Amino acid sequence: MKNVIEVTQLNKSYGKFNAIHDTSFTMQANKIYGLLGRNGAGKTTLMKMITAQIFPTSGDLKVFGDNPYENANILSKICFIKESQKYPDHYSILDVLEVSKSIFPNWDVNFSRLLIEDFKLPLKRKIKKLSRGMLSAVGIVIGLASRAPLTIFDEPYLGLDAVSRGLFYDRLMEDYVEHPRTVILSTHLIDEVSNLLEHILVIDNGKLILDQDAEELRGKAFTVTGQTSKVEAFLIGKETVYREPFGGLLSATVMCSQHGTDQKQAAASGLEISPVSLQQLIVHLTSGKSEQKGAIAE
Amino acid sequence: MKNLIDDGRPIFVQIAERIEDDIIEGGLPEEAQVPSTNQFAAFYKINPATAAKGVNLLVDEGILYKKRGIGMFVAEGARVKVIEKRKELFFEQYVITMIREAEKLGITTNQLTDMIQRGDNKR
Amino acid sequence: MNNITGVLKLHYRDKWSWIYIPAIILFSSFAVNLIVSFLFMNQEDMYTGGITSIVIYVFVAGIMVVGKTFSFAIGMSIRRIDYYIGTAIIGIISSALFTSLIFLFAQLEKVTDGWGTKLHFFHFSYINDGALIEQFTLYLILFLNMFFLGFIISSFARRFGYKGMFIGALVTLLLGSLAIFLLHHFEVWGSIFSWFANHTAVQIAYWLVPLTLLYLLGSYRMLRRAVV
Repeated sequence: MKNVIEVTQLNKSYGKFNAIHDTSFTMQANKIYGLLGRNGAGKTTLMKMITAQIFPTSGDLKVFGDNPYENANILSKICFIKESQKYPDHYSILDVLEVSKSIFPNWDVNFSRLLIEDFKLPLKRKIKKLSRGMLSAVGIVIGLASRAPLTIFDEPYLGLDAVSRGLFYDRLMEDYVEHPRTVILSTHLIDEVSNLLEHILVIDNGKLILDQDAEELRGKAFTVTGQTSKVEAFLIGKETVYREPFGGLLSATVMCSQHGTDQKQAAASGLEISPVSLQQLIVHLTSGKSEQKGAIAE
Repeated sequence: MKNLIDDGRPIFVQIAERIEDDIIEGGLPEEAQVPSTNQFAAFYKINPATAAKGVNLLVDEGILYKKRGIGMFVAEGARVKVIEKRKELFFEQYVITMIREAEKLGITTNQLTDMIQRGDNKR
Repeated sequence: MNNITGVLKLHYRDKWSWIYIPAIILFSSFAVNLIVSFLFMNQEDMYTGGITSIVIYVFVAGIMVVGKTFSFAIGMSIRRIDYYIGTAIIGIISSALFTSLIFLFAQLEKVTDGWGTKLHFFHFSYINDGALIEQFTLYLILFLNMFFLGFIISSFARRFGYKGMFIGALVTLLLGSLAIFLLHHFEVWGSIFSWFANHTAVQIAYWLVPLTLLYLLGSYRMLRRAVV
C-alpha cells in the first residue's frame, strides 16, 4: 500500500527542549490512525511539521512522497483541524465555509450544509462570538466537508458535549466508508475513539513509544492478579507495563508475546486474568516515567 | 451500540463471534447473505477494516464464502462447523476453568458431577 | 494559482477591513470638514489634512494584515508564497482603489472650487500641481509604500515575534538617532530642504519606489520562514 506519510529520524527542539525526538514511522493511505498521548507529549508539534506549519530541526519528512513545505500539490491534499486554529476577526461561520470551499478541491457543499444543521451552527454569527463548543464544531465541519486525502483532527472536540462528540464520530465513519481517506485523530479521549482506529501511535515525551495495529494491540495486554510470589514468577521474561501491589496480592499488566499461550500459562498458575482496555494500556504506558514537561509550541 | 463491543479483546474476534452466534441461533441460515463490512462498521461504530478482518476470519474457516461482486454468504454446513468449534471452546473456557476452580476449593470430580446433575434438575 | 484566488477571497471576505472601515474613515472625515467649511464660510481658503487619515489607515491595514490572516491561511493548507502574493495583490488593489477615489474627488473639488466652500480636502497645490497622470501616480506610490511598509513590519513580527520586534525597534531607533546626529554634524539639513524644494511632488514620490520594492522583498523573505 502507498505511504501517505514517511517520517525518518525527525527531531524538533526548542532550545534545549526536545519536543520531538528521533521519531520515525510511516502512515498508509486510507487508514484511520490514532495519535495518542498525554497533553504536551508532542502530538501537535508532530502534526504541525507534517503540515509544514513549523519546520523540523533535523530529519526527513515526506507527505504524499515529497516534502510538504511550500508544495501546493501536497498541501491541497491536507486538511489540518487544530484546537488552536485562529480565524480572522470579522469572520462569520459562513465566511469560513466560503473560504474553505475555494481552498479545498474536494469540498462538498451539500455535506457541509448537512453538518451545519447537525451541529446547529448559526451561519451568520461571528466566529468571535461562538462558544468553545461551536468553535470546535466549525473545525469539525471543515475537516469533514473538505474530504482531504489526509485529514488531521487534533483534539477537535474541546467544549463539545458527549452527544455532539458522538455525532462527530458517526458522521466521520459514515463519510469515511463512502470516501476513504487517511485520517489522523489526535486525542486523549481514547475510549471514545478506540473502536474507530485501525492503527495506533503513542507518543510520550516527544518519543514514539508505540506504533501498532489497533487490533493486535487490543489483544496484547492483559492484567493478572494473584499472590505476589505467583505473579512475580509469572512475570519473569515478560514485558510488564504496570504493577500495583494490594496487600499480599499483586496486580500486573503485561504485554503478551503470543495471544493465548500467556493467558493459559497464567490461568494454569491460578492467576486471575482480566482484559485491559486500550485507554488503560496507554495510560499505563505513558504514566509514571514522565519527567517534568517542558513548554510545547502553540 | 457501543456496549455490544467489549473493550480489551480484539474487535474482529468479537465480530466473528457475533456472526457465529447468528448462524447458531438461525438468524443467518445457510446461503443467507451476511451484512457488508460497511454495514457492520456503521452499526457497531467500528473501523470497516476491522469488520472486514472479522468476516475474513470466518471465510478462512470456511464458515462464510464470497460471491464476487455480490457479498458474503453463509456456507453450506456452516452451522455444524460453528457448533463443533464452539463445543471445543466451551470445553476450554468453561470445563477446564471449572475443574481448576474446583481443585482450588477441594471439590472432587464426583462431587462436581453431582453438582452438574443438581444444576440440571434445577433448570 | 487556485490558492492565490483563495487568499484573495480570504481577504475580500473581511469586507470591514478592506472596504467599510476605510470608507467610513475617509468620508466621515470629509463630511466633518465639509460641514465645518460650511459653518465658517468666508473668503479664506480652508486647508485640511483629513486625507492623511486614509494614508495612515492603509499603513495600519498593512501592519494588521499578517497578524489577522496568516495563521488562518497557513492553517487552511495555503502555501506561504500564495499567501504573500494574494496579500500583495489585495494591497495593490486597495491602494489603486483609494488612489482612484481621491483622484476623482480631487478633480471634482477643483471643478467645484472646493465644493463651493473653498474647502481643500482632496486637492492641494504642490501635490496636485503636476499632470493628471502624475497626480495619480503620486498617490498610488504613496499608498503602496505605506501598505508595504506596514506589511514588512507585520511580516517581521510574525517571523521574529515580540522579542524580535523589540530588538528591531531598538535598532531602528539607534540607527535613526545616528542618522540625525550625522546630518546635524555635517550640517546637511539645508541641502536636504533645498533638495525637497527643488523637486516636484511626484519626483520625490519616485524615490519611494525602490524603498517599496525593498519592503516587498523583505516581507517575502520573512514570510517564507514564518511559522504558525
